[in-house]
Formats: sequence, C-alpha cells, structure tokens
Amino acid sequence: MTPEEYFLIIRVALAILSIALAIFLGSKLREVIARNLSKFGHAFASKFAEIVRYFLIILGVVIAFSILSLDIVVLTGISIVIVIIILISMRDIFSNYAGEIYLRIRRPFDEGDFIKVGRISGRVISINSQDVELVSIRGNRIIIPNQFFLKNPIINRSSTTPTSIELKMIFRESQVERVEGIMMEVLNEVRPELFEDPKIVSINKIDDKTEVNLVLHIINQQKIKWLINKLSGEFYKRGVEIEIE
Amino acid sequence: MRSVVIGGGHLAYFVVTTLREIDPKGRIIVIEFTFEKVEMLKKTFPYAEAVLSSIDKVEEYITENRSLIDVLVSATDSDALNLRYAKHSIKNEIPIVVAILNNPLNEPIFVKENIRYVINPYKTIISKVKEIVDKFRVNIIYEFSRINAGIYAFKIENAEILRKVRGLILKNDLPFFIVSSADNRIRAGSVGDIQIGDVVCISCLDKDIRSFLERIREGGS
Repeated sequence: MTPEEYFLIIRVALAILSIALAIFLGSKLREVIARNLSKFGHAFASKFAEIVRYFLIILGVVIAFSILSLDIVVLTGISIVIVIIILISMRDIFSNYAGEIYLRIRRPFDEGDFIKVGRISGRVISINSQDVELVSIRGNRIIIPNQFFLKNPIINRSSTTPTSIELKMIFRESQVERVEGIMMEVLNEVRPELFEDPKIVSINKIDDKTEVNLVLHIINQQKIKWLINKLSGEFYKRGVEIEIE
Repeated sequence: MRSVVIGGGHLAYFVVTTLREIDPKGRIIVIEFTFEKVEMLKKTFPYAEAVLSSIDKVEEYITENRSLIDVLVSATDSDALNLRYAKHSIKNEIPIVVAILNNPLNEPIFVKENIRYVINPYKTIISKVKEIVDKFRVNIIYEFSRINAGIYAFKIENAEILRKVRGLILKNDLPFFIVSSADNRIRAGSVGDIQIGDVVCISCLDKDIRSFLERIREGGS
C-alpha cells in the first residue's frame, strides 16, 4: 500500500467518524434541548431540537468533506452559495420561526387572550410555528405571520378583561324623552348579559332624528353580534326603527 | 354577565352566592344532573335558572351558548368531569373558565391541561394550620389567580433570616407589613423596624421570590 492510499484510508475513516460523531452529538443534544425547552411547549422544543440536530449533521458532513481534502475553497464557496440561496428563499419562514421563538420566550400573550397588534385585534386561538390564529370581534378568522409580531407593538387586553363597546344609535324619532324611556326599557332587557350597567353617553336631537351614544361593557367579545341583534329586536318589538353603528 | 355553573353540590352553593354578590343583575344558570337537586336548586337560588341535563349533554349546551357565556365554573363532584367541561369550554373560547377541585392532588393535571383558573378549596388548610399553630418559616398566605404573585409571610427566627428578608425587600422594593411578636399587632414601618420574632408579610411577584423561598426552606430544614 502506497503512503497516498494509506492516508486516503485514514481520511475516509476520519470523515466517517466525523459524520458519526455529528449524528451522535446531534441526537444527544436533541434530547437535552427537548428536555430543557419543554417549558416553552413540547412541540416547540422538539422542533428547535430537530433544527439543531440537522445543523450538527450538516456541519459533520462539511467537516467530512474538508477531511477528504476535496478542494476546500470550492466546497466552501458552494456551501456559502447554497446557504445564501436557502436563507434568501426561506427568509420569511426563518423570520416566522424567529417570531415564534420571541412569542414562546417573551410570552406577550397566551392562547385565549384578546390582543391588538398593528390594526388587527381579536382573540388568540392558537400560536403556531409560522403564524398566530385570531378570531376577530366580528367572528372572522385571521392568520397573522409570526414575523408581524416582531415589527408591531402588541397590546394584550387579556381574555378576561371586560371590553367597552361604543354604539351609536339613530332613532327616527324626534322626542328625546320618549327615546330615553324606550332606551332604558331595552337596556334593562339586555342588562343581565352585560358586565355592568350600560352608560348613555349622550342623547342629541338632530333634525327629525335622535342620536344616542352609549357604552356597553362585555366580557365575551363574541356577544357583540348577539347584543346588536337583541337591541334591534327589542326596539322593533316596541315599534321603534333604529340604525346602529 | 352570564355565568354558568355546572354541578349543584356544596361547591356550587358558594359559587352561585358569590356570583350573585358580584353581579346582582347578572344571569346565573346552574346545570345539574339529577331532578331532585334541580328542584332544590330552584328553591335555594330563586334568582338563578336551574337546568336539568345529562352528563353528556353539557358540552353540547356549552357549544350552543359559547357566544353568550361569560363565566363558566365547573364545580361537579367529579374532577374528571370538571376537567372535561373546563377543557371543552376553553376550546369554545369561553373567556373565564374556572374549575373547582375535589381532590387537591389532581391540581397538576388541570395545570398541565392549561386550565388557567383552578380553585383548590383545601389550600387554605396549610396556611391556616401554620398560622394557628404559629410555627413556620414561610407561609403562603394568598396566591393571586389573575397575576403570578402572592402574599407571603416569613417568621424571623434568627439574625440570618432577618438579614435575608431585609435584603429581599430592599432589592425588589417590596410592600410589606409586620405582625409584631410582642403584642400581636400589625404595624407598618421600614426594614429597620423588623425584629427577630416578628412575622413579615410581603406582597411579591412569583419570579422575584421563587429562588428566595427555596433558599429559606433549605436553610430551615
């Protein structure tokens, strides 16, 4: 056996060893990471551990190639290009993962909380690796990419904090006293569903109409639709036509 | 506010009367599984609606009324049922879901299932016994449900604990009051007023006190 062949066998053995070591370390590290990060959620911990494991395996393969003395400059160049292409093409995905890490560690809100981020507000249904799912006050499902939370201020109103809703009602009725009387009757009907007594902010007579602004306090944001329908129905029963804004 | 209480036993009695006190104009619905208890509930709580339901129909009721229920308290005599209904209510986005424990050993199961508000009625036994017998190093007087904080009592047994408690208060700028050993009276004051033998009650965030509690307990055993 020539010295070149002898060195080649040693390099191949070392290359295999480096890959085996990387796989072994990757598996061990995966267990450690999954165990230590489980407080941030099992799914998140195992996913993060899996990423670290793959990173170590790729590192082992690169080291193996370099041990085999393939032209290292070419190899490095190719690796860098591949990494850059991957990073550019998957930048949104990575950014969303970064967003998830932020949401899991900083915990600005939990599932069930009522939040406002940018101009979007709603109750958090689920926090996922790529996005957060909300349900808006009107019942629409909204999917927000996690990176959005890195760039926008978050207001957490918590799930249990009562929300005040302001309603403007326009009555086709010019007698303020009559409107006020009917309004009180109707508000008494819906009061058991509210967190506290409703407040009439103002009653103004505008031409032949009466405009009433009132504030209702509710806990369950899903109740808004029902409340508006209930109010309209109660006024209708009393022969009063209204518009609610 | 619309509140739904599941179960009509002795736990529910306290829940219903409290809900009534909180919101006298609110709507309270009690769901029970036996006809006799429903009849009794109607008499005991004339202001509440008592509803007869089978065990398996409760989830259906919650789903149908999910947009109207503000508070759901699961207070049956079975922790398995309480967990089941609490989980279903959270899935249905009921804003406030409370489970009341029958067996305190089941608390970790509820916590693991992300039930945020779990009431353990037996918890006060520990703090009460410690307070009555008047022999403790740390006594957890109260744990807040909505925030991760509590009120903790420390008995100043020696100079070492006095130094540690003073350090904790000064480091985190914590509000506190002193229960004096000399005359059993409560007094406010500065950390300099704390003496050996006193009980110091501190209001504090969990994160600020967790490691301190461990150190104090380890040192005391």
